Amino acid sequence: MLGWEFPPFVSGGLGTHCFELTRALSALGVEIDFFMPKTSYEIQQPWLNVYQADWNLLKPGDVSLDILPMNYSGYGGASTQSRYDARKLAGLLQSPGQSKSYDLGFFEAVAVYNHLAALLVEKKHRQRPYDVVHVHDWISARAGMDVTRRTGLPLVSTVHSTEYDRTADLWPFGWILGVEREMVQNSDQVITVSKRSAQLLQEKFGASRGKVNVIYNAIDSSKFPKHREFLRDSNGKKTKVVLYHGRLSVQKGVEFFLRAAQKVISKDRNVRFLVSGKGDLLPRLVELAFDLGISENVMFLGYVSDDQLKRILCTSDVFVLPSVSEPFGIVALESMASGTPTIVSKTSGVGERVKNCLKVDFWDTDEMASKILSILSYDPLYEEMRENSIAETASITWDDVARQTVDVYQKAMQARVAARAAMAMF
Amino acid sequence: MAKVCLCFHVHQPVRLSRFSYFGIGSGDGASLESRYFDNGMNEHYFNKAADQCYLPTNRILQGLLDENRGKFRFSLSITGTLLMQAKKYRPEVVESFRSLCSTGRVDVLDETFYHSLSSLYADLSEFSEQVRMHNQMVRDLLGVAPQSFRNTEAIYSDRIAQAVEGLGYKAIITEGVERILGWRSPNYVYRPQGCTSLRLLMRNYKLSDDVGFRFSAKSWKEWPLTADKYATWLSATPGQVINLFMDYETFGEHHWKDTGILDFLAHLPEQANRHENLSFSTITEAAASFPPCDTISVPSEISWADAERNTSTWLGNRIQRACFSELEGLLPKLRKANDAELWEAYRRLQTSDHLMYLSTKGMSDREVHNYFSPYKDSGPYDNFISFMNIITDFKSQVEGKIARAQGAAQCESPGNGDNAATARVGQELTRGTN
Repeated sequence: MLGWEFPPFVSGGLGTHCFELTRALSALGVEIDFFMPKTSYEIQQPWLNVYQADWNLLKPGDVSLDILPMNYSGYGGASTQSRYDARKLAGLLQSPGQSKSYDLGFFEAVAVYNHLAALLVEKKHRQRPYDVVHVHDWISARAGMDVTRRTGLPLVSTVHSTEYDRTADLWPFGWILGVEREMVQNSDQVITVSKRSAQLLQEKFGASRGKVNVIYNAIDSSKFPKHREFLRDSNGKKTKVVLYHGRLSVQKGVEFFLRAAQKVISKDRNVRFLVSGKGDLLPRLVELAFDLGISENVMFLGYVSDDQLKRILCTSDVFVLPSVSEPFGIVALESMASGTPTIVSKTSGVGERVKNCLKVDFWDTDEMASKILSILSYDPLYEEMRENSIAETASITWDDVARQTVDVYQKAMQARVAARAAMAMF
Repeated sequence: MAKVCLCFHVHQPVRLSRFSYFGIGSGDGASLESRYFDNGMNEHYFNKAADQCYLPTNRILQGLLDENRGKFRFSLSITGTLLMQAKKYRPEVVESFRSLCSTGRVDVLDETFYHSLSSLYADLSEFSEQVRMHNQMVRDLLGVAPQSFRNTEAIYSDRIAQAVEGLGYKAIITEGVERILGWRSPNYVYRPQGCTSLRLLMRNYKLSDDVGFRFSAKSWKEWPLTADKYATWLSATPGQVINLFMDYETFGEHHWKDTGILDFLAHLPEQANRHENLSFSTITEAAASFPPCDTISVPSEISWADAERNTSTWLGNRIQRACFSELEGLLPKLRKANDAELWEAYRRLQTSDHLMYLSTKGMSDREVHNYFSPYKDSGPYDNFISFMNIITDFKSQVEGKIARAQGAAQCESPGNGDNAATARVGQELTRGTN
């Protein structure tokens, strides 16, 4: 399995996903070597081998390094970026055995990591053959494609999000889209996290229907405390709390959250809106809160750790995921696991998976505000949603995800066997 | 010789509008009817049911009554909310039901006009009033006087049976729930605990559901079910009365015409009458034909709904109970306000369907509920929000009316105020009119 991060080194949801997935897969008897970029952390877990892609893991002669720079065609052909990457890589590859940290630009680091990972996977495969190569998102796609092309191993890719989602389809980065399209087309089987995401892969990347598998994310509910905490004002009066948590970007629809907040506050001044997370939209959102006249009721928390989030969820009366485009939205499972009534946009994949949340169009801030006010006003609704959210998320397990993933591995392996049999006929 | 009692449940709720939190208190003189009820949706559903079920099935039943002379009879359980909408959207539906009744071989059962849960209120006077309204409606529109009773969704308990006996009915029908019957068969006449004249019939749910639920299920080992085969089953059923009570929309709506359901119905009387031990009867006639063979005690409510066969379909969770008790709690205020428009809205809000749409029960039941819910895109929580917003708005309307009435009384006799707030509202209103 090829990824980008693994706990304790985590920057987004991908690390947690890989952690939970590999653990559950291992319980089903799947042996996993996990490849990721070199970090400063020691990463080891009993259920898998973690290899941090490092030049030191290769010895000259392990693989024929010399063919790579020639054959390397870069990402998506002739862009300046890819030629630059190729040159840089050629330089790096001339000095194997020498410790190198990725003191490079982001895209260069991705390129280097992918080439190294492909070499390492191939080396390990020669020592002890793999059955399947599984990559996560575009960031580890190139390595998967290279190594499966060279070894004939089946390729499974998981698409957690696409460039269309990350940019809300506003100025997507064509180069990344190119890698994503290539990954989907070269994979024997593709896993994605919702039906809406599967549809996008079919429409935008031409993925055939039979190849795309929807496997929803899961949650380890036991990691989320379920007690309530209360925020009180200076007079000791309980303040109602509505939470947003996530990146502050256009894709996430935080602006709509603030517009709904204004409508809620027009009916009930005793409501606090928490905006947790960081991102490039922060200055604009602060300004918007001011323009809407709700600065007093909105708190921007900035970066919030996982442990802090757990406490904030216990304090919140409502959680809103207003995403414009969200392949899944695992944070909604986290809020539900803490018993916080949750509202998600209809354009969030998580809404396909769970029943005990409310759904709104992200742009319909009247409806969003009406739903927030209703949860805050009607205790039986709060209690009913709370109880059912906890019960429902307790049944959404990684074991199920692992079982479905193994089915996909088997499909991919069978597809390769069938393809080989067909080739043998000529 | 067993009596076969066919009985059809015919009902449409007056469906609610989607009502935002911001709609609360924003009436501005618009009628409650237009604000709370989605008449476009109601008309749509009514027309669909009329064309697919009511009119074609009534035509078949009319033919069967005419052909078989006295040898085919059945009972109808039609709600007031259905008749009210039939009158409004499709008067020919009322006519066709009236025509069935005019043969003298169709028995109409009484119930609450609004298909409500008022039989569960602590104070049963609202229940009695809704039953009286239903009785009046049936007499006016269908030209017959009901003598037997079936409560909303067959909800039943000793308390309800005693109230129904007090209203003068001869028989009542409920679900043949096994945990109540024990070793006893549903196919006999019983006496409700604590009653002296009322007779109790029990629905044979297995034979009823063979038609109502399983008829078109190709995975069912008895599929396809023919009238001939079904009549043989009836004939082989031991007992005195076989109560086959099904949703009228079984015919043409739940099972579409191309499943053969209408042909099944058209051939059933002929096939059943071939068996010498079977004859058709209405509920009222069947109950009178046999003396009660035992007393049945039902201390807490049963119904015909879901696997639990109790009231959990409507009152199973907090959000359902919250709406129910809000509505029940409003009763004294409605009496105080005493306004025709408020009463009408109040009673339509009590229709049990609104509560069923708030059910959060497990998957299998939820599927049934979703099938019946007109709000396809929204779940129980959305439905609760909308419903509770309406109730909250309605409450303020009722309170406003009471305040205005008291304000008017204040004006007539100033200085007689017993409530400062009311007096203030009264003064403001007076200022407004001056």
